[in-house]
Amino acid sequence: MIPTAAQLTKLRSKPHLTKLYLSVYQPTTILACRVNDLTITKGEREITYDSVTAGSYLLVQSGMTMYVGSSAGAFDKGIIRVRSATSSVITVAENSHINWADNDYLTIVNFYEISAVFPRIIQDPVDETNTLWYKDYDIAYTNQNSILGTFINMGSHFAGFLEGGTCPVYYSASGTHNLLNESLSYHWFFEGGTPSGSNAHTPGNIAYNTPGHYTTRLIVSGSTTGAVDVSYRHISIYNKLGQGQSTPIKNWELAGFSGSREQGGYIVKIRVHEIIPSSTLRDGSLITVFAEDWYGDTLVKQSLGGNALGRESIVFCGYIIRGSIRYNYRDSSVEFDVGSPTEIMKISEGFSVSIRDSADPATGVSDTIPSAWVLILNMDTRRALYHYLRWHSTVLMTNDFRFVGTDRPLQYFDADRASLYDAISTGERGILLGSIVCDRQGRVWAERDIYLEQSAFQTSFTLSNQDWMGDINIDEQRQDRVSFIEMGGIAYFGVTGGYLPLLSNAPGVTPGYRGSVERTEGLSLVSQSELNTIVGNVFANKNSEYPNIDIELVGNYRNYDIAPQEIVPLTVESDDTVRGIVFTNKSFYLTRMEWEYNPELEYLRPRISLSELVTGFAGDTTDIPPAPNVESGGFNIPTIQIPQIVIPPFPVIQLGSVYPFFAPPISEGVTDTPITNDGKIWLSPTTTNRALSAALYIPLNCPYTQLIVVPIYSGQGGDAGNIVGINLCEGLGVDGADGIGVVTTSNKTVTVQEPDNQLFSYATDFGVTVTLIKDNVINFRFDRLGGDGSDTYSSYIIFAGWKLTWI
Amino acid sequence: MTPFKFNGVAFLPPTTHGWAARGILGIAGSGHPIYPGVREYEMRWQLTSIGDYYQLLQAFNNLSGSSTIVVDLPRFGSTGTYEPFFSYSGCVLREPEFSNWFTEYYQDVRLLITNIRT
Repeated sequence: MIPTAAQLTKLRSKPHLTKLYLSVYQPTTILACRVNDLTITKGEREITYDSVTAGSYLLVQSGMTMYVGSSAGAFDKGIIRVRSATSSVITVAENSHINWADNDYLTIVNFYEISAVFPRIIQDPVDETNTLWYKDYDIAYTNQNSILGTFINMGSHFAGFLEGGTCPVYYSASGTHNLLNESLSYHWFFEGGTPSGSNAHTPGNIAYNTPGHYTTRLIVSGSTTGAVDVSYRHISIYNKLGQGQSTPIKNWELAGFSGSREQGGYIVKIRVHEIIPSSTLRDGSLITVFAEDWYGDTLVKQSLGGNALGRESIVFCGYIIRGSIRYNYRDSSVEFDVGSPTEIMKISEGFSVSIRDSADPATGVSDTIPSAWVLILNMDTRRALYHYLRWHSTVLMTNDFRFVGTDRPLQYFDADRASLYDAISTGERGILLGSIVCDRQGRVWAERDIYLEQSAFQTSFTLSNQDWMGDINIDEQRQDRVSFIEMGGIAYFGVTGGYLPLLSNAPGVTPGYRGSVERTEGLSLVSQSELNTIVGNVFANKNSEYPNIDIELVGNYRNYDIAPQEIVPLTVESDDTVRGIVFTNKSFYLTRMEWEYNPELEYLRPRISLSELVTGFAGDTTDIPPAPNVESGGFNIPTIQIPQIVIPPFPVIQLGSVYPFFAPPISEGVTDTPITNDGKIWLSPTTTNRALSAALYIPLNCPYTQLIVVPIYSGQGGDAGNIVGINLCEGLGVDGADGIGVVTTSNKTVTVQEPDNQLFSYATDFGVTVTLIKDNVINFRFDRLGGDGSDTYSSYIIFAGWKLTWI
Repeated sequence: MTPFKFNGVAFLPPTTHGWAARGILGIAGSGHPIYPGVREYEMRWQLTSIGDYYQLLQAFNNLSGSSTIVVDLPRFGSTGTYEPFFSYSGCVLREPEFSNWFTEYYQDVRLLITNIRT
């Protein structure tokens, strides 16, 4: 919060006085009943009930909390979010952690908690090749990702005193943002307030005249699309101490109160010196620390600070962290830790979500995109965050959400199966170099780091020696922590605009001489120029000379908070430190706050940590290398031709010398037939060739009289229509002359079919029957008949052997 | 009528009394001391009767852990020789202390009044 000049004067008026008060929100019972289902089992969503002892189903709102217990009002069996209720059935969120039983006590209370909302994907019962996608178990897609919706801002939860019989609570929808920038209508309901409702953007002060615990609801609707969003805040009104029965907890102390941007929020440790029943205090209870403040004039009460309008008196809002309640019966005290909403988001696990940009989600479903639920109309970071928080959590129902900085189109957004906080924080960090941080009052801020976009943030007043106490602690970094940073990402220009990969480095092509190397990728960018500026600023800030300054402030400076980021000018004079460091309006930003409260002396004082805000010189563009040839692993390797292995025919093993056998050598290639090193036997297109010749000896006592020979070969070549003949098995005499041992000869030919130069292989019916003449040698010859002399293609054969059948 | 009162009821004037010195919270960077916003008033009695002591004790006991008391004290920072009394509201009492019991009197009774806004 940036104080005005008058507020700054007030802030610097001494002394400061603060009284803190502790509020534990006690939700009212909306419906109390019991389970009426003998067959109910674990995992049930439709809970049949009876025995209503309080309230009515007509008052049940979607999102309320239901306790399930073994006695009235108990929650020992579990707590679950309510979806809806009828006169006999309560529908709850999908669950497996409650072992439902007949007669379980059910208590629906007027309280809205932060929790994950689970999607559901099932096989289509009608078409097993299709899947059906739902949000929150049964919400089918209609047009949600086209009409989108609104980030509602309505201020924090509130607690305060009746004074003069009334407590005014200020309401405004300031900061509410619709993703389509359409005009909005507002419907407020102020339970316990006067008036009880409003349709104004800023209703102003609503009067609460009776102590109690109430819920305010705001429904925001898009005037054009009809997109509806709803959010709730809890209001606790008390009597002042000594003026009634409804007072806040009296005997308590603030044992710790600190937060940081790195942590994403605050943790507050509270010790109460009285026993509080577990029905009053439980995991997840809403805690509000509120204040009465005096600045300068101890008689004029005025609170300063906080980011929400009308919430200056609210010091902190949070929820009791699970498992932190510790009872000390010896001291009659109870201690517990309270965390910002982001701390609760850290312990709420969601499912993984993958969404992508689309020009029209309704028509974008395809074989590869199974549901319009994964398509977001003209997606940018805001819309991606909205989709995740709206449909996968209840965060937007309970807290304000603000996005600060320049947004840009986004093609894909993927959230791992992680906590709600990690899912969006990782996305914000990875896409925009930003953070998700909660301020003291519970508003969640999504911001880019301030040094990347200083113009998006405001400048606070100059901090000087009148504002701090004692010495300030200045950390000085003389040596660079980082020597080289490389950053890269994608500039995406929309569904039809394409994208551009970008890469940059700082300080430049040459790294520094001290420090480590860092790389970041996956950023969402606008241009190379922007990336060069970003990497330069990141480099400069990581190597800033003053990375941390700790300052103990003199008073109740609640204008400062860890979010939203602000530029904090700092002036240090030479005699403010022993080292004589001089800063004149030097820019810093706040990274951490720690508060100290002394109730006896009534002072509340922070200790802040600042980090130097530096602008560096632009980094250097890095040309992105061309994409490598994936098949050859990035190298230009010529195709290696592996020759076919020619398998010579197996010689027949003569057992007892009764069977024929091939006599070595098996000669290949008659002089007019060339054989190349790759085993191919090239045949001339014009002349008859002899490719292979082998002698077969027939012993006298050979039992066979005939031999069927089938050559095994493959080849390629010749023009279509040519006869590529394989002339086989011309029986010859030992000396190669005809006439001796006449055998059957055969010309087996193959006519080359269309097209030219095709592959061919042996035909199984190509066998030639040869009559064996005892004690003779038969020469087998593997020929090719010549073409017609006008062949375009030569042909070759690769001979593998003969298939021999003895008869 | 003694001018010292608790919630409008007079009590035994102390033997010695006065505004306690405020301890500073620290020194601001500008060299200015930072004081708390509230003051304390200390009262001492050499001897008090049983009844007078009981009145002080009852004033303390009647304060629960949350309530405060109106105390009439010499006005802080008044000018001139005459110090008018002023009713300071929102004050808190410490438990009255004593050292010895001596012949039906309490010796060295001390009472500290805190959280006084002046």
